[in-house]
Amino acid sequence: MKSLRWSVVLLGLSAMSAEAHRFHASFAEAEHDAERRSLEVALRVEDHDLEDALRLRHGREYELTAGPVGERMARAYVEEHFILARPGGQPLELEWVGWDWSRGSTWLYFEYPLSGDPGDLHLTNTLFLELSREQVNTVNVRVGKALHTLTFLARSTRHHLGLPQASASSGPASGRR
Amino acid sequence: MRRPQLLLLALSVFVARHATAQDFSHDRFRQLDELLPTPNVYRTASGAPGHQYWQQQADHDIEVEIDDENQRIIGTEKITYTNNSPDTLRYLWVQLENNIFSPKSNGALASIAPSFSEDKLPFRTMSRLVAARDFDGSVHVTRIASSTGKPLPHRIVDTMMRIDLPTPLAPGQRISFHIDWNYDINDATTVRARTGYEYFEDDGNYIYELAHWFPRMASYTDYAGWQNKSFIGSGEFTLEFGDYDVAITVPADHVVAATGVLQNPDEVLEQSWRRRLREAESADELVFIVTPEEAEANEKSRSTEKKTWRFHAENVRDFAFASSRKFIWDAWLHDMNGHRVWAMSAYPKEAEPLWSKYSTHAIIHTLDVYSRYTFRYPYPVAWSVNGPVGGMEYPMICFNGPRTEDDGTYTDQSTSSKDGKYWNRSKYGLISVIIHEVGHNYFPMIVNSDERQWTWMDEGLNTFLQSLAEQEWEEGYPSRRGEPKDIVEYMTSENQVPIMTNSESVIQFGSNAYGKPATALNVLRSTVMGEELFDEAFREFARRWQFKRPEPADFFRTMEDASAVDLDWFWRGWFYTTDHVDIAVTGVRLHTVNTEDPDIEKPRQESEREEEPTTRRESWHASAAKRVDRYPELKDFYNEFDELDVTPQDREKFEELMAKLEDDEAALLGNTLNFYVIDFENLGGLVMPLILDVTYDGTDTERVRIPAEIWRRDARRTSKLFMTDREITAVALDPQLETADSDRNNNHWPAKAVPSRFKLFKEEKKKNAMQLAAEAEAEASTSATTSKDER
Repeated sequence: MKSLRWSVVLLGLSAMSAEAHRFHASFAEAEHDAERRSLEVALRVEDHDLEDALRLRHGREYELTAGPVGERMARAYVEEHFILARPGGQPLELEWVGWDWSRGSTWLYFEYPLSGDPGDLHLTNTLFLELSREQVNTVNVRVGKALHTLTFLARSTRHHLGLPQASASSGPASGRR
Repeated sequence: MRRPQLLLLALSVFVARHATAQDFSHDRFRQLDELLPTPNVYRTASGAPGHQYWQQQADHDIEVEIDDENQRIIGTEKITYTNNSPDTLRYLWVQLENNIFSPKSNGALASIAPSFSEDKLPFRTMSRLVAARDFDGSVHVTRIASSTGKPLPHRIVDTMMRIDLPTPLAPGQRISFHIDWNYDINDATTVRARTGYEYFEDDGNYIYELAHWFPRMASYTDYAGWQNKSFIGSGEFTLEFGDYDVAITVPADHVVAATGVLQNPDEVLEQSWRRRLREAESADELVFIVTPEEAEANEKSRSTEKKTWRFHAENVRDFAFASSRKFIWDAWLHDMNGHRVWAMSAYPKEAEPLWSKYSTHAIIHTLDVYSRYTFRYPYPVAWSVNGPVGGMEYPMICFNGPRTEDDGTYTDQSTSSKDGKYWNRSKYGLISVIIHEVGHNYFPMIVNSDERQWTWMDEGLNTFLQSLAEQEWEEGYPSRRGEPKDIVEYMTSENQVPIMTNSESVIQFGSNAYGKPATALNVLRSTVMGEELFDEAFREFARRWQFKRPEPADFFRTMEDASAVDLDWFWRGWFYTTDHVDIAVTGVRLHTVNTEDPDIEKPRQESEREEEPTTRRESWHASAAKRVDRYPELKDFYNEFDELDVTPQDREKFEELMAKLEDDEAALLGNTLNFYVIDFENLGGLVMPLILDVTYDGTDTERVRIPAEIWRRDARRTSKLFMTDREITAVALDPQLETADSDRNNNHWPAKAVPSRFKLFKEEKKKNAMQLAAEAEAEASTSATTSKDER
């Protein structure tokens, strides 16, 4: 059996607002724009999760702010943890659009230009799983009027995306409504 | 727009459609009869406690010691249990919640593997995994004996212990028994929990925040019998009310904060502290009882003596306490209409200066706001304590985690000169968590819901009130939950369970048990019932069930009973389904009255005919030579006659009609109103009121609020009639985003595309705020230059 090794790193946890239950969540809206041939993603994360994740990568004293340095770090983090890939594992290029801070939640915006057959893509979402095994990452995938939800947990971090075949127009994929 | 005309008929005959097999799935207004328990003598159909309502009483007399050398709890208690139920009990169930800290507990065994997909693992996660494996904090029960000292047979099942009684306990009877126990306290920084200790390396001291630290009675109820479902982590506590006498023995230099009122201040408090407490009674402001300087000096002390702090608490469902050498203690005696409450905070220097500035203020603010929405805070004390527990509530005391940064600074939402606006959470995080945890005194500490079964009944109701209290703290307070638009992503996602789901089975815990119910209540208050009516009904629920144990049905029923608003559709949609809100404006149709007067109707029809476009076929044929032009003799009367010409017969027929009509009927025919029918489609499933901005003549806009009952016959499609002299030029649905409508693209007539969040951001991002400011500055300087030049 192959044993995998990992490094243990210091994480200076910032004081976080907490309630009696532990829960960690992120939500993403991923919309397939057939005309632009692009998957447009708006991702909402808790700012303390993002800050803790960046502290884990960059050192315990790191304080996240809305400036370009923070944005670059957030982008690098998302590029590693929200990966759209072809069946062979070749990741699609993530085009960063920007980020927006509001009331404890941070929205991150990026897109993936699609070429060839987008129908056979896989999404890997490991956001904040290094911080908490209870993390639940939800991605609502919208194709036309249809919406289906992908739920990423510690035990299931990769899902088939289910976009329509390249030859098809923007007609709805299997999903509800 | 095509204008269909209305024919007024003196008599309309409707033929009833043949009734077919009933399908109730589309009847969103069907009463909840199949879902709610049958009312009985304990719980009425109106949602109130019934005339034979009962609950058990569990009084605890406890002596407990903290072993500060070994971080252990050693305790002995006498539980006096009164059987107020109509049932005879052969055994009693007692909770040993600290058994969750056994590596063999259901909670530990059922925990999910961490993700090893990363090449980095935080020390925190690693140390937790190792600590959880190595630590056994389960309860060692060393004696269970009757009041006469006779050992009682018992069986421990995970976090529950059954004690078999020598003789069955009949209704109305009381029994006392003794339990001795001890356990190792968890390090709450590695074995995270709602209880535990924190060790401070710099000064070698501990803060203890102790909860579910004593064997306590499980609940026996009219609706579930024994609530003896094991504690596995999410479903919290289901408890009985009772009186507590608790003697807490700690190192003599510790300061103790606890549920209840301190009975022996003269024995345990320094003279100066007692003097300051007396001064605080008339100060009406924050007073340090233990000053920061004293606490810092105390940290260096290591007394080998012990002191016993004695507390008494009446009518509480639980007892928690905190103890440390590190505590700074501040107090404010708050007058609540003649009822005086000690609002107090205990915290180490590591929490300063944030805590002395905000904690006790936040307690008082919470008591004031919550009391207005429920009942006056009945207890004499309300503590907020800082330690290792992030946020957890107990009667009269709560543990709150947010602290100042290591360098003593703290942050809030502010503007940095370099980076623009950013959000930091230490200040608002602290205020919010204190409001939330102090607020739990009302739900579930006093309105004693069954937390092991339902998380939303305390977390949802409390989060709802928390958002109201936050908005009364300061304008624009950054509340995390409560705005309908913030719950849309969750409510549209497919992988959901209804709010009415057992605590342990809830996925997306924060959204399901905190966010969605809090949002639902905000929507119910502002959009469905109106603030005043809602507040009266909500207050009635709190009043009816204070110091009692409500079930969800009692809440649903009371809110209707006290308001005369049938809300079954609301509970059904928001609490029993995973539907979301998506209502579309699908069309606007205009109808006008057919006056039957040929001199009005025929010219109007003529002008409509003229407005009709010439078809391509007609255009093509128009230029072709026609036979009747070549041979005019082919023409006759009908070649010249226009059916829209007014004939004498038309006028005669009209006069005949008018003669038959009564005056009021004739007047109706002369009506020039526009009858607009606006069509709606329910795509999301949840029925909601229709909040409409109707614009007339492109200028005046009227806000119209249509109750959800518009959907009662057909929850998928409905229409609303508007009669007006003017022209309706636009309709906007849910203009103030108050219904959690998930798709705003279909909320407008004429259709108006609302770009996705992504596209909106991309559009706005073209110019950021600094660029816009720079542009404005440049523009200002240009115009200044221009005016100079002009001079």
